[in-house]
Amino acid sequence: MSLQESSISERAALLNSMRGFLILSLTDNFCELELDRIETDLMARLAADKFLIGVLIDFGLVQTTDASDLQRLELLTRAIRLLGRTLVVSGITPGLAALIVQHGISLHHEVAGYDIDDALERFQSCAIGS
Amino acid sequence: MTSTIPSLSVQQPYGVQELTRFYRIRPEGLEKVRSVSAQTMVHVEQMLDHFYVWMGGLPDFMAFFQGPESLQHVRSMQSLYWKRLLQAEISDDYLRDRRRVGEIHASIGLPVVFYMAGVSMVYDRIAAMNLELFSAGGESDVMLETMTALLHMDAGLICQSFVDKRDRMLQEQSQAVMAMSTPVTEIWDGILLLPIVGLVDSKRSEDIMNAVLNSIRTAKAKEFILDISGVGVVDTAVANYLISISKATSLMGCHTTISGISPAISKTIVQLGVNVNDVNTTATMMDALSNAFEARGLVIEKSERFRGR
Repeated sequence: MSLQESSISERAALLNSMRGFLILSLTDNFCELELDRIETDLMARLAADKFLIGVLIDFGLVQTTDASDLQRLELLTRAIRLLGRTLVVSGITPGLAALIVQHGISLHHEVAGYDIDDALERFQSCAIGS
Repeated sequence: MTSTIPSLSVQQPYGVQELTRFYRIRPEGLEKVRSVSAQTMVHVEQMLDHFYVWMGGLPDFMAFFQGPESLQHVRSMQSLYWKRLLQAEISDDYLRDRRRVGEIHASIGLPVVFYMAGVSMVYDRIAAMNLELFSAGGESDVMLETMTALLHMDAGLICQSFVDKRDRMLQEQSQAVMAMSTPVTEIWDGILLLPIVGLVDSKRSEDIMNAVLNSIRTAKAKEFILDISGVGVVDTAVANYLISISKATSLMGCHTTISGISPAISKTIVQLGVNVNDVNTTATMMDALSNAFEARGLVIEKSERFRGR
């Protein structure tokens, strides 16, 4: 089954929620088209649930990507921030981090962690600290 | 660390088939060499005598031998080599043996020019020996062609493995230098420190970024201090790298502080148009350390014993 054929509910499975965050787990082959669809789902979920604190984008399964996909991702993160939601990132590898800065991409994140749990813990300690 | 000098090593060492094709070594030529190997070997021993007399007159060459025993050992190895060469059986084992000689030359630092001078001297003797053994014409030509090709192939293998070995040695040294030039140290649980001293160019900046990001992942560090008080000036490309390091560490959940920025470096960073809020800086490493400890919930206090001193 192609991504185009998958139903909204199946695609929304990419967006589990945890501790008030929508978790978006990207895979190694994420592309602009997929990000367009994810953005639609994500915006719908954020609009529907005012109690969601923010979005956590997990890159744990992403080894590499290209500049255009990263630019598309940057737009997505900016949109999330404009909705007044917190953005947390996790699982970014050294190679991916170098690639992101090399392409001058900003992910507009507030907190970053090694994995989803670590990122959420850090967010909570930041929230308590503030 | 990748060297900026292109490597001269071949990806995969060539085998018997490729090498015999490269050097145009034909089976009938090898057969010819084999058929006269017994006669030739007698001449080879004389040639070796001549070779060692010739070499004895060259102090630069003799410096590579520790004494008569070492000289005798090398000579007996050469004699074995010639026996093997005259058997004209080019096998993987034969090629391996040739390559090993190149590695030994690289290890002892024998200049290629010395080795090639020896090959040239031997070549002249082979040509003379060929004339003594065969009458001019067909048989002699085949023999000389094949012996020349074999000697060239052997010299090629030895020089290539010499280069390969030197490449590997350079790579190892370069890795050691990199490790020394980027000593990322976990000075406390979750706190990494990298003091940089000396000249920083784009290559070193890239190495620093790789070393830092990998150390952050390994140590799961939350604070990273980059102390550049030992660096006088940097160009805009390097300054940009320093800012990029800070941004990249942030993506991995590690907060970076750059300490000890000199006025010259500060000017360069400003010229880049970097938003100063994007970079966390302190005047001294002590301030950076103090901030990092605080961020980790640690407090540095004088012990009871030292209070009042």
